[in-house]
Order: sequence, then structure tokens, then C-alpha cells
Amino acid sequence: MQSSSKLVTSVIVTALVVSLVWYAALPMLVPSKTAQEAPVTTPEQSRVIKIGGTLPLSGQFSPVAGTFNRLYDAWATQINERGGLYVSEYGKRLPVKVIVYDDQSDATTATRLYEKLISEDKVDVLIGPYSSTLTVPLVAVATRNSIPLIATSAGAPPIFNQGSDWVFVGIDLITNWPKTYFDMVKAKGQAKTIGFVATDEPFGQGVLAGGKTFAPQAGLTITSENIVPVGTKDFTAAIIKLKEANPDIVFVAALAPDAATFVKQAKEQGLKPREFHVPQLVKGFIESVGVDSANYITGEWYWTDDVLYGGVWGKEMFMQAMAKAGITNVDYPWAAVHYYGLEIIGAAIERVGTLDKAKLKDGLKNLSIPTISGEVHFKSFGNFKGVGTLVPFPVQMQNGKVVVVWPSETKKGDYTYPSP
Amino acid sequence: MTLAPLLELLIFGILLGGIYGLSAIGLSLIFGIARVLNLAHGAFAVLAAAVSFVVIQATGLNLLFVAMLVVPLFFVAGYVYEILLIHRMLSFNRERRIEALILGTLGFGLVTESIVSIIIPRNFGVNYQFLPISFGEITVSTLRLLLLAVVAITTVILHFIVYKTWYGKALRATIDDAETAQLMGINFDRITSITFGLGTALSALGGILLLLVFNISPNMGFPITLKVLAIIILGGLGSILGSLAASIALGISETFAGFFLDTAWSNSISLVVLLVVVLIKSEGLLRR
Amino acid sequence: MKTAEDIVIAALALATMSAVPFVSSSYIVFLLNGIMVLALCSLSFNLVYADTGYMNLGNSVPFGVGAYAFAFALSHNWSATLAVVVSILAILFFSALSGIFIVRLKGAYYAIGTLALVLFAQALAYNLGWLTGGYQGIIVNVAGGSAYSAYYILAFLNAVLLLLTAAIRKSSFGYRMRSIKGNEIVASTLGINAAVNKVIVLIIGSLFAGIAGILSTSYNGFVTSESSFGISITFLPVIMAILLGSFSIVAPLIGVTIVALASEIFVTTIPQLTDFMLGILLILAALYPKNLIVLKNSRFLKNKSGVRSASS
Repeated sequence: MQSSSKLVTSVIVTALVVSLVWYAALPMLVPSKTAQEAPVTTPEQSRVIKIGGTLPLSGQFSPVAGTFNRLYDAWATQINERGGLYVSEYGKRLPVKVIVYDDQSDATTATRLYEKLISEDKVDVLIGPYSSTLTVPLVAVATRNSIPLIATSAGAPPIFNQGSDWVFVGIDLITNWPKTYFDMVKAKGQAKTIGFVATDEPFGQGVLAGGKTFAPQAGLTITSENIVPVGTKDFTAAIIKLKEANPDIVFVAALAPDAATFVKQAKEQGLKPREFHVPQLVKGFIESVGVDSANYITGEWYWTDDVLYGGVWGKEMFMQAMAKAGITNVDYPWAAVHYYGLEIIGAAIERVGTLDKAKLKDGLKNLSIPTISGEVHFKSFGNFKGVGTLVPFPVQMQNGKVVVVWPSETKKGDYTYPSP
Repeated sequence: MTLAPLLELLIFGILLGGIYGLSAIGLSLIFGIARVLNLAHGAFAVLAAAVSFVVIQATGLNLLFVAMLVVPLFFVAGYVYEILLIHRMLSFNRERRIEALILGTLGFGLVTESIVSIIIPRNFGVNYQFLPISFGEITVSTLRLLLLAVVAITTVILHFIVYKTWYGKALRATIDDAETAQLMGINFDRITSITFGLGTALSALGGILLLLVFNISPNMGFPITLKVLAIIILGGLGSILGSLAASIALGISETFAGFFLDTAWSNSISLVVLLVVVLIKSEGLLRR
Repeated sequence: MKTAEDIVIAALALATMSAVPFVSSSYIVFLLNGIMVLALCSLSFNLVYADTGYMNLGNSVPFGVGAYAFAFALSHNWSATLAVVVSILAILFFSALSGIFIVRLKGAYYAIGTLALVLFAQALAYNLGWLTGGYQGIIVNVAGGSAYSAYYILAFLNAVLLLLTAAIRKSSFGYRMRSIKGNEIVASTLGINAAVNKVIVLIIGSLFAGIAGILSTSYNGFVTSESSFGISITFLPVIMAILLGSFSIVAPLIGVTIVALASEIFVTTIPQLTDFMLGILLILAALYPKNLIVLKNSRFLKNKSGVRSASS
């Protein structure tokens, strides 16, 4: 018995060790087609532009952004149908490829997988994941590896004040998110008081900070401010406090799932403000609360098909890519935000004319890029670098349809206040 | 600080506690009979909620009606679960049994949650618009009052089952003294399977009711299990009334803490209470 | 006790592990670091569990304390040495503190009590924003090569813990602990002070878990309450330790490798089904330990004193 079990053990242990080594050494053994990153005088014929990122294909964010890999693929196919992106350093068009892994909505997983994208897949540029929470730790990864990171749905301050030159995003800081909404409220001039409820994570905190700045400027008095911990399921305490304060507007600075729970419970418990403002007015929210219940709730979107901007390749191309990916803007309003990332990357490569990471990074600082939601350039101020300029605009749920209500040039419906 | 908010808080605390109480009773029974901490308990609640949600979306039937269909279904599910999975592990030697039960129930919970998140890859909940009822200055959610009624009725039914039926007598006998019970002719295996069915059905009911209170996310199973676990420890493992009392106490303390303290600490209140109680109770060894 | 075979296998393992960083990408090093961190926590759990039967679910408390203390120190620009010293002191302090609380608990209450400690620690980490950065946690700037230095340190620590576990088992100390598992009341009549033994072994385990936390911060570059007290760091090591049965010293390592590698492969190939496959893996491991009899009987996997533990 002894010798045979010894044998078996040795075999198993050796197999484990060997497979570990094999798995580890494999990337080195397989000759990489794109081994060189620096521009060469005789460019390889088979060079492919690789863009890498992660998305929450599973985990708590998957309902909001889990389908965007289809959008990325649809875009890549469109670009490749034209022959690819033109890179003057190579003197021709090069095809693109987008590599996406599942970060499980977890920051540690994301960090590790971005490391994989950089060191094994050897991508040229990184496109950021969904949410500031996951993006914050990635700044160090991108900086350490000297590779540009184009963030997407990530506008929290901690991302941009780490002093890194390598991070850029199309949207403005989330503290600026509610500005256009408050412009509208001010213009209407009827609301007098406002109460806040915010979840204690980057999005909620950021939007709350912005709200607290702009509300007084719009002539509103803040009568209640409630911060709830992440993962709160029962908002009774906050609702009771808001009922006591009885503000005209209740501003729900929370991610869609929590916002939906809040509004649902608020209505059950008889909280009746003149208006609920829910920045994250997305399908997940609307369905959870119920279309009837969501009537006259206002929110903020970055894009609808009514918007008039063209973007790098035109609005049509974006809409076709969405159709091909089977995503509608109504269901996934943040798809547009991720598309900005692709636009920025594409424009940067074609305008700066190189795939050299450092040159791209330097070039991006000075670029002005047209996107489907307007022009983007990157601002530096104080400790902040790489902050974009796109802000959302107010929308309102009106009888089953989400309608743009501000600014007057682009609006399709009238801001109805107070909610009947 | 007026009286009205305090009373509202009290009512909500009782209601929330009551809902968790159902699930807690279920787990308490299962533990009482088989000494199994079913880590998939919460996952069953989520699965029941998911199934009900899908049925309601597809047929538009009333939630209560759907519940009456789904809950018995989960009785069967729990019964089968015990026979196929748990039973085998109960026959292992003492040390491996505990390990196997942990791994097995946890694994089953993971599989179940995974299936739910594939069928409904987002948070889901159900809404019925009821006008809140007002008693003077106090406004109470009508929905939650109805839920309280359901919980109360269920508790009464449970009481009937446990104290008036043959099964109930056999259950209590076995919890008290398993060996004697078996000597008297009670089929331990059968009782265990039925109890698993009952416990799972209770968890399922809890999950379905939660659909009305807040939105369920597919991976809520494990946090629910943990919370229910804390409740039955507080209330005494294997005690029905204890679990109910503990869950109501917990519901009230959480709601009040959320109101008076910085809401950041309200989640911790239940833990502090748990720690203190565990320390006090630490002298009490498990029976058997 | 060391035969030529043991030495050869150990040397082989050592050589392979040392060579890996040179031939593979930084991603692999990251992955292996993650695995080794889990391994350290798993071995540390097993230190208490295998011999005494007590499930210390609170291993992520020292882990988190170490991770946060280190991050806090670095973010305030303390020197690396000072940061390490302070972190270790913090670890020892907190594990002694929690040791006092939980040592009185027996049986299932021990498990629940330690679990409550973890949840409480997570709540603290979340609430004491000025100290811990709240939900977002603390970001630390890490040097480029830190993943590699972390790699070697982690490998070294794993080896040390393995040897330590073996040494304890062989010693009279280990003998005393096993008697606690056998029958605690009888053991105390024989003069064995269960409490002291439990605390000592708890502190040793906590030290290793805590250092794993320090290293985790150093190569990841950040710490959050989720990453240090979350479900994965609290329960995964436990699952990995008991996956194959806790009878042997090396079993947790194999459990860790299987689960972690499988998990990574699932995540990169069939993302939506990761949990599903893991769940199946756990169920199979629960139901069919007999398939591991082969491993169980092998001499290599017996504990070093040559005696198979009583439960097998």
C-alpha cells in the first residue's frame, strides 16, 4: 500500500506543480503577435489595436452595465468594416479588438484582471469599468504600468486627484452632475425646500455634495439631509425624518436599486413631496417602482435619440451599434457614457497618430473631441487632472415615456411641477 | 420629538421583525430536529421570491394567490432537498458531518442563487399601490399592516401544527429526546424530511413577502441566512417563540437605532446585541 | 522525520515557486499572490481547527486589522518599517482583545461569536471613516515591484506556517490541543488549561493572517471593508481548509489551489456561471470525500509525526 500511494501522491503533486508552471509560463512561450509597443520603422503587417477593460458581467452592477460588452463588440465590428482606425505612424488603417473580462462588480477582481489585460493581453489602451468604486484603485495600476486609462461611468473626485497623468474621462465630476437640473428648478421658480437622501458610497456622496452646492444657488432651502449606509434595505428611518421635514423636492442620490427601494417604501409610507428627483432614472428603477408609480419623477440622462450632437463617427453609427448589440437607451442609459470612452480612444489614436502610450497620454491633454453628447476636453485644476466636460440633462417620466425637459433648445416636453 | 414618529417606528420595527421571524422559525425548526444550520435557507427565500415574481409577471395573478401556490411547492422542494442532499451527509462521522453540511448547504445556496441571477439578472420587487392608513397623526403603510396580518395568521397556523397535530407531537418529542422518540416508534428520517419541508416553506413565504417590502437582489440569499442565523442564536436554538421574539426585538432595535443614531451604526446594533448575548449565553452548551 | 523523498519534493516545489515570477507575467504573480494570501489564512484557520475542532471564523479580523493599519500608516507617509511594526502591534493587540472575548465560548457559540466579531469589525471599518476611509477604503501608492517582493514573502510565510503547524502537532502542545478536541471536560480534569492553549494558538494564527493582510495591501494598492472583512476573505479560506478534510497539514493548500485556480478559470471563461460551478464543486466535495481516500492514505499527507489523526 505504501509504495503505490507514495506514487500516486508524487504524481498528483507533480501534476499540480507542472500545470502551475505551464499556466504561468504559457504567455511567454506563445509568441506574441504584438510584442513590440514602441513604433517601429517597418511596422508589422498584422498589428491589431487592442483595447482592454472589464465590465460587471456578474455581480450587483450587472443589471446596469452587464450588456455593454456587446456594444463594444458591435463598435469594433463597425470600425473594422471600414478597415479600422487610421494610425499615421503605421501609414494605414489598423483593425481594432476589444477584450473584456468580468470583474464581478468587485474591485479586487478588477485590479487583478486589468493587470492581466496589461501584462498578458498586452493591450494598447484601457477602458474603465462601471462605477467609481472599481475605478479608483485602477488609477495606480494604469500609472504604474504607464498605460492610458479612459474611464467611463466614473466621476468621483478620488479618481482624479491622485496626481496621475494617465487617467481621462468624458464626463464631468459627479459633483457637477445635478447642475443642469437645478438650473431648471431655478427657472421654474416654484419649489422652496429640498430634502436629500443619499447612500454612503462615491456616487451618492458625490451627487449629494453637488446637490448641496447648487440647491441654495437655485433658491432652495435644505430642510433634511439623510445619509444611509450602503446595503440599507429599510429606509423607514430616513422616510420618517423626511416626512417630518416635508420638503417640496425629495432628492434621491443613490444608485438605481437603492433608489427604487427607497421610492417604493416612501410611497407606501405616505411621503408625498411635490417631486421626487432620482438621478438614476433607469429601466431597473422604473420597472422596480412600477411605471405608474414612476410618473412625474425627474432624473438625469446623458443621451437620448433626441439629442442633436454627431460625435466622432456620427449619431447614426452609435444607434446602429446599439441596435446590433440589442441595447436600448431607455433600458441602459449609461451605455452612451461607455461609448464616450470608445469615442475618446478612437479620436485620440487617429488624431495623435500613434499607438505609443506616452504620446497618446500627452496628446489627449490638448484634444477637443466631439462625442454623441457634445464636445469633450480634459480639465486640470487644483489637484485634479483628466476630468471631462459632459454633464447630464434633466429628464422626466411622463405617462410612460421618459422625456427630455431641459434645456429649452433640446427639450421635447415641459417640466411638470408639482407632480399631480 | 413628537410621539407620532416613535409609534410609527415601533410599528415598522414589529412588522419587519415579523417577516424575518417566519424565516427564523423555519431555520430554528430545522436546527432543532437535525442540528443542521442550513446555509441555503436564505437562498430558498430568494428562489421563492424569484419564482413568484416570474409567475406574477407572466400571469398577472395576485401575489397572495401565487404565494398559496408557491409555498407548498417549496415544502416539497425542502423535503426533496433533505432526502437527496442532507440525508447522506447526516450519516457521516461527526467531524466530517459538520464540514460536509457546511460545504454542501453553502454549495447548494450558491447554485440556487446563480440560477436566480441568470433567470432574473437584476433586482426585482412587486408593487401594489395602497393608500397609507392614518390614525390621527400616524401614517402607516397599509401594505405592512397586511403583511403583519399574514405573519400573525401564519404563526397561529404554525402553533396549531406544532401543538395539535401528530407531526407536531412527534417533532417536539424528537427535539426533546431523539433516542426515546425513536424507541417509541417515531420515524426520525421522516420527521426530519417533513421538518425540512416545513422550514423551507416558511423561508419561502418570508421571501415572497419581502418582495413587497423591498427589492430583492439575486445574491441576497447569504446575507439573509446570516441575519436569520443571528436571530435564532439570540432566541435560542430550536425555540419557536424565542426566534419570533428575537426577530421582533431585532426589528425594533434596528429601526430605532436607524432613527436616533447616525444611520451608519444601525446595522451594527444587531451585531453588538448578538455579541453580548452570545457572551452571556456562552455557558449554555448545546443539547445533545 | 525527513526522508529523501520529502526533501526532493520540497526542493522541487521551492525551485518552481522561485522561478515562476521570472517566466510569467505580472498578472500571474498577482494571481498567485492572491492564492497565497488565501492559503495563509486557510492554514491559519486550520491551525486551530484541525487539532481542537474549534472553527475560528474570525480570521479575517487580524487580516483586516493588518491591511488597514498598514494602509493607514503608508497613506500618512510613515516609513515602511514603521508601518510594518505598527501594523504587527495592532494585529497582536486586536487578536489578544478578541481572544479574551471568545475564549470562553464553546462549540457552535465559538463559531458564531467569531463570526459576529468579523461582522462587527466590518461595521467599524465602514463607520470610522476618518480612520478607515469608510466605504471607499484607503488607496496606497505602491512601487512597481511590490507584487514581486510580496510574492516571495508570501511563499516564505506559507512554508514557515506549514513547518510550524507540523512542529506544533508533533509537540506536547499539539497533543494537549488534540485532547481538547477529544473531550474538553476530561482534558481539563487532567490539568490541561484549554483557555490558555486556545488563546496561544489563536494569536499565532492571527499573526500570520495579519501579515497576509499587510502584504495584501502592499501589492493590491488599496484596502476596503469589503476586501478585508467581506464574505470572500472570511469564508473562502474556511471552505478551502475543510474541502478535503482537515486531517493533514497540506490539505488546505491543495484546497486553496483547486478552488482559486478553478475560480479564476471560470471568471475568465464563463463569467455568469462562476458561482454555479463553485457551488457544484462544494457539493461534490461534501458528498464524496471517499474519492479522496487515495490522498488520505498516502504517507506524504499524514501529519509529520507519522500518525494519522484520530478522526479518519
